[in-house]
Amino acid sequence: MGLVDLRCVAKAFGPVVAVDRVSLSIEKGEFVALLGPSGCGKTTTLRMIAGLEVPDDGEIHLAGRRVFSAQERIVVPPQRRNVGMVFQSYALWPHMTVFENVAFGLRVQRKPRSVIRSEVRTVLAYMQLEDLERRYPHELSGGQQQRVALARMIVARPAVFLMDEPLSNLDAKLRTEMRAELKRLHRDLTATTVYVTHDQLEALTLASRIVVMKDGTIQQDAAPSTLYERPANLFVAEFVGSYPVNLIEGRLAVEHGRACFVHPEVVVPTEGPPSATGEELMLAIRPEDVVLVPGEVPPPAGEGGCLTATVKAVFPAGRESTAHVDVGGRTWTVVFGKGIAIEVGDRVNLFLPSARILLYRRDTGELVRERSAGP
Amino acid sequence: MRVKRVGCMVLALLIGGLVIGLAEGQKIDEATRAWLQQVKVGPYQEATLYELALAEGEVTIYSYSSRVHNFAATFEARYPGIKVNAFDMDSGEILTKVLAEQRAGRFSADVIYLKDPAAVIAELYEPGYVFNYIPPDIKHLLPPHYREPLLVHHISLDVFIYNTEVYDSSPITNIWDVTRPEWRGKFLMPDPLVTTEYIEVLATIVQNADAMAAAYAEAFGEPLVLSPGVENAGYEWIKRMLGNGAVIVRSTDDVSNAVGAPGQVAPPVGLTAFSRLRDKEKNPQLAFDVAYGMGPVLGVEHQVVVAIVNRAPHPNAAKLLIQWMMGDDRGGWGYAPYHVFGNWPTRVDVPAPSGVPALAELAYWNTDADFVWDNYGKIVDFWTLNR
Amino acid sequence: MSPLSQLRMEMRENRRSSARGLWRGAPRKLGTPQFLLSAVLLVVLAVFVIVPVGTIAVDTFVWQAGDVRLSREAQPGALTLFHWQRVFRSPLTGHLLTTPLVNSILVGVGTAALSLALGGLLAWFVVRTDMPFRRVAGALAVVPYMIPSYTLALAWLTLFKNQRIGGTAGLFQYLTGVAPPDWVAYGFFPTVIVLALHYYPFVFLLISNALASVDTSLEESAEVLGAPRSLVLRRITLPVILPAVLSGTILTFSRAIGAFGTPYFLGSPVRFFTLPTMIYSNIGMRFPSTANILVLVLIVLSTILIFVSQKMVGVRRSFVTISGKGFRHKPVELGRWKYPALAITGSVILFAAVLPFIMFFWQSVMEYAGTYSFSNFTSAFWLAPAGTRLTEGEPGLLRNPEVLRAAWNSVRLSATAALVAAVLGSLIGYVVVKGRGTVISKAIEQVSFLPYLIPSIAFGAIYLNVFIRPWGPIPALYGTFLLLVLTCAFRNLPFAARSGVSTMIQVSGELEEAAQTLGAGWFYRFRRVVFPLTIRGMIVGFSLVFMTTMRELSLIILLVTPQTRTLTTMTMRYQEQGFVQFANAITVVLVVMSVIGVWAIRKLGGQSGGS
Repeated sequence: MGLVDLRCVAKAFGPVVAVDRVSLSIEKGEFVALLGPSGCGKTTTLRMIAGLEVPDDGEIHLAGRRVFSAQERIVVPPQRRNVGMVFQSYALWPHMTVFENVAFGLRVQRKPRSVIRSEVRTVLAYMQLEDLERRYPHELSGGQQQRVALARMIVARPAVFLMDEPLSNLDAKLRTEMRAELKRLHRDLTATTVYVTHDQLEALTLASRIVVMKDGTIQQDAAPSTLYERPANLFVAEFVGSYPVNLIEGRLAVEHGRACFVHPEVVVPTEGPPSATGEELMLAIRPEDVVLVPGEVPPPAGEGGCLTATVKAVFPAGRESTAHVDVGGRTWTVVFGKGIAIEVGDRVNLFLPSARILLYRRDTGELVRERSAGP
Repeated sequence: MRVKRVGCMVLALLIGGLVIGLAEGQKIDEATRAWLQQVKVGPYQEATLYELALAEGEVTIYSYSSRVHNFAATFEARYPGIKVNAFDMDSGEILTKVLAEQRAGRFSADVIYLKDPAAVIAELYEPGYVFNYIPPDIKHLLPPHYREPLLVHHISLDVFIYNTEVYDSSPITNIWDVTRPEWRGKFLMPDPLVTTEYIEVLATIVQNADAMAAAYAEAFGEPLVLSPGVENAGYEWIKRMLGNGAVIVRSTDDVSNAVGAPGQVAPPVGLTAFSRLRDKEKNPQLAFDVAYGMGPVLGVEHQVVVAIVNRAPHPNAAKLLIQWMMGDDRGGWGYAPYHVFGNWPTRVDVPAPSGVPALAELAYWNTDADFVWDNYGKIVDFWTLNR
Repeated sequence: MSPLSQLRMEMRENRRSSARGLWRGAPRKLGTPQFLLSAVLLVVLAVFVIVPVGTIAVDTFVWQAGDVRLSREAQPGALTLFHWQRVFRSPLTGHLLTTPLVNSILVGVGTAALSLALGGLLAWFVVRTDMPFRRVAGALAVVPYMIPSYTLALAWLTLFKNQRIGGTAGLFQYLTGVAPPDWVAYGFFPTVIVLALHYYPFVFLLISNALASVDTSLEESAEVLGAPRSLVLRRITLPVILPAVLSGTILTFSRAIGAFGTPYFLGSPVRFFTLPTMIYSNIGMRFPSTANILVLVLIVLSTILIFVSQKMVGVRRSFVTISGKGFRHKPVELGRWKYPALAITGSVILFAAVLPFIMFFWQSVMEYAGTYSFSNFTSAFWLAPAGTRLTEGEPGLLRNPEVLRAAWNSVRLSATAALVAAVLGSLIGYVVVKGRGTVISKAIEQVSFLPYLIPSIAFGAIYLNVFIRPWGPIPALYGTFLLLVLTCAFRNLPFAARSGVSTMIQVSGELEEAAQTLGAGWFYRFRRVVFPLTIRGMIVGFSLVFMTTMRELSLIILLVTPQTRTLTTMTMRYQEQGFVQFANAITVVLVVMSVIGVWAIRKLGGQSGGS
């Protein structure tokens, strides 16, 4: 049993099903990101763990204790769950100083004054806030407010850290800084963390495990690398990654005794044995996996398919530039290195290595053939 | 139809007419009957009554007039040891309060003192929530219609007034004058729907429809032709008066201030309380007077009644207080707060306050509580439809 | 099993489980403090609000004792539809209902609009700009509500009266020789102006409270982006203060459609009658059923308004201004508009508060009422010892022990009632906002507003009849000070509840949840987090109830005992005896006590409230 255990947890708001029978187990020390677009149920899931929402169904266990059970009608209120939470808005109390905000959790626990003082000071020092303890929240910068919110959570030593899009209110530079801060925090405290975000980059960089959600259900629950390399379905493939994934429709057919992805403009042999031919498929490939072959240079060695495309836009960006090309009416993104010079209107050849393509069933969106792990 | 109340005091007769009167037509229960039996004392002697009242120690009165505090003070001085709990509020509020107390069996009031006898008789007297008490020694000094079914403490008049700065004598001499074109928009009266004692005035005018018709003939030299659907000359006057742009104001002092304000070129006339003449003492600039020569009458009376409440916790103190309120033959301290301009005592031996004619010299209409009660709704509706 | 059939099966299961969850969810919520609190509040409201309103409604179907005057068929106590037919389907309908209703709605809309403009503008000047003397202006801006509105009506007539109602012409005609037309002097127009000048403090208090918690950086960032001020106001500021605007509108509109004195005083000379005229006259004539039906019409009107505003507030989330992200506060520089702003604020306060107050005071030191000259000065009505001839033996106000006791009673009653109402109002705000969208929340919000529309005298009469005998576990409260407190608190609860709701909406739920996750139980987090964050709203509620109770007369007249007589009950006495000076002096005392009371509660609240 994990430290946090959700079993078939469901929650509806009126007619809208926010979370649909989600099961999830989180081990001690893990940093799990709940990732998904807004309205996917990730925040509701987090709030149910905290006890701020009461599920309609299922069970929740925290640190071996059953804190919610629909069957047995057990609801442990948030204040008795020993969880810590950081809110998107920070939820700092404007009428209290930084010190009072941070000390709140300890005061609730009726710790002696001197203990409170020293513990708060320690945490404030750790969060580099020691000079600000007399300030009120409105006298702090956004980054400082964020640190106070974190300090307030960790000082109470909860069993689980719950964070609801904690960085979404910060500008890009501060966000990078705070990401590092959160990493440090997790490393130093080895705290079990559940982190809600809609920013896949945040999830990929911070989490040890990512749970992608959509429409209240879990789409994929995997390590960041797996998630990136082997998205379980089209939704995940499209949602994860710094560039949009490239897609093209086709069928599975047998050519020269091999199972191939067939499109009027390109044929890509697949790895593994031929399966049901004639299946309607969607080919997905990450922009960085597409090999751009300028002019007459022969395609690289190895299995794969080749196709020709027209350049629609070029975005030079130093070492690694990107371009938009037109492939069978779809816009693809390709990444290319410094040595290659192309211009809008050029015809370029694209090589799709068999080892890098992902094939999804068009009807269900599920991955039909996992590509083998690349070198 | 209501039972005709005969002024006979059933229980009182047995012991010399010296107790709270229980008249025919009142419904009472056993507990009340027992209480009536127990509290009858007599024969009357002030000293005996005081002694009994002293044992009770206090008396509670609900009064429509705040001058209750004045006669309460003199009462307490005259009868040490008896405290007066005086409440002043509107007559309607007294009715509401007494009804609530009686229905809930919370007997806390001893005496009520208020206007609107029609409602008091119908809503409090007939169900046996209040009883009449006439101090025995002055019974013979009160005209019968001022002592039954309830004791009338004093009366006041509602009269027509005019501006004395512009007019040497009243420019109107007949009640129908206010329906003439020259007084269009120049006649003021309090809104009877708000100052409800003017419903009594209107009802009395309706009741005297024949006299109204005669007055019309006198004023216009031709017989009155009623408008379609209008019942009699009283209603016709209301309709024509309203149709002639009468200005409806909130209260009697709005009328007297508008009529009496100095420096006017064409001041209006109005219908208001006689007692407004007193305002001239406090504001000497006001210039108005009563149109004494009005025909067919100069005005309509209002009665103020006093009664003992059913199951009053201090019945003897209540009797003593009523005795005090009725004063002596020259008014007396108890009556003094009311021995002023605009009020007339009901005791025949008490002279009218100086400066006003005696009641006997004035032509006015008496109000008839029964008639007012029976025609109240009709008059209100007629007014509402025609205003 | 094929994937498809598996899917179908899961869907079926899902449907079943969610249905199960639905009925199972309800009892689980029973244990939460919020639900318990809602339940307790509902019970309290049921006893003190629903029962009275229910009584009113039921009475309309019963023949009353006085109804024998209306119909020969009346049998007091028996059921009848007579009253409803009389109001809705009789020749009287137009006079009793339709015309007055239309007039009332016009007055209500006009007053609400003008109050909103005045109150909103003044609140903005005082809270958000660098207008000079804003603190003084802020303190004085609520005074017009403490001054009886009929004074303003009188003042209007003094200025604009024409010869229509006799007497001397107004100042305007005296100076210009031109008689103001009837529509300026009487009826709709002056009624709206006078009522708005009297009621705008509701809007002022609510909006300035909302504005004080708006993050100015929101506005600034919009301005940096080049948005014109009008756009900033419309898109940033307005949405944030919308709950306060709506609460203010509801309060002023409902008060205006329910106002009797001023509309009657200014309207009756041109026979411009509103619904309250019909209500009060029917109460006065002891036709309570007719009056009650018209009260129910007013209640329906306001219910519609609240319903619409719930819709408007319910769908938006942009009202949270106290979100736990710190915010900044920077006044808007008015520049050359500084003095025009001061002039507007000053003249409103001057005409609606300062001048009437001076008039009151002046009229309390006149030997003969109505004569404005120095030789006519006397301090007798304030300071004379008992037995002075001028005062007909009455001691001066400040020497009269009865007056002093009544003053103490007024303060005691107003403060206690205001405290009870403010606490209840803020609890109501809490459960209404926390449970927004649920039936119970809507029910509490609606029910807590009902007393506002019942005329004081009717409300007092109901409480008299209900609490004169023991009622379940409640002993007979008649004759106790507690009943006075409860009557005033519940009748004025809508002030506190409205301000509770509009304040609570501004406080982000996450602030309380943060405390919850840190282990704080309900009482602890209410005391340490919710209460301090909403204390400003409570003070607004307290002030409104305090000021209203201070002037309350018809509400409590049926319930007072000589020991609990308040100052207002004494004015009646002096007015009747023609002692205008005493009556005016009492008004002066009431206004001064109200000002001190409101000032004191702000000081007190300001200290305990922290920021």
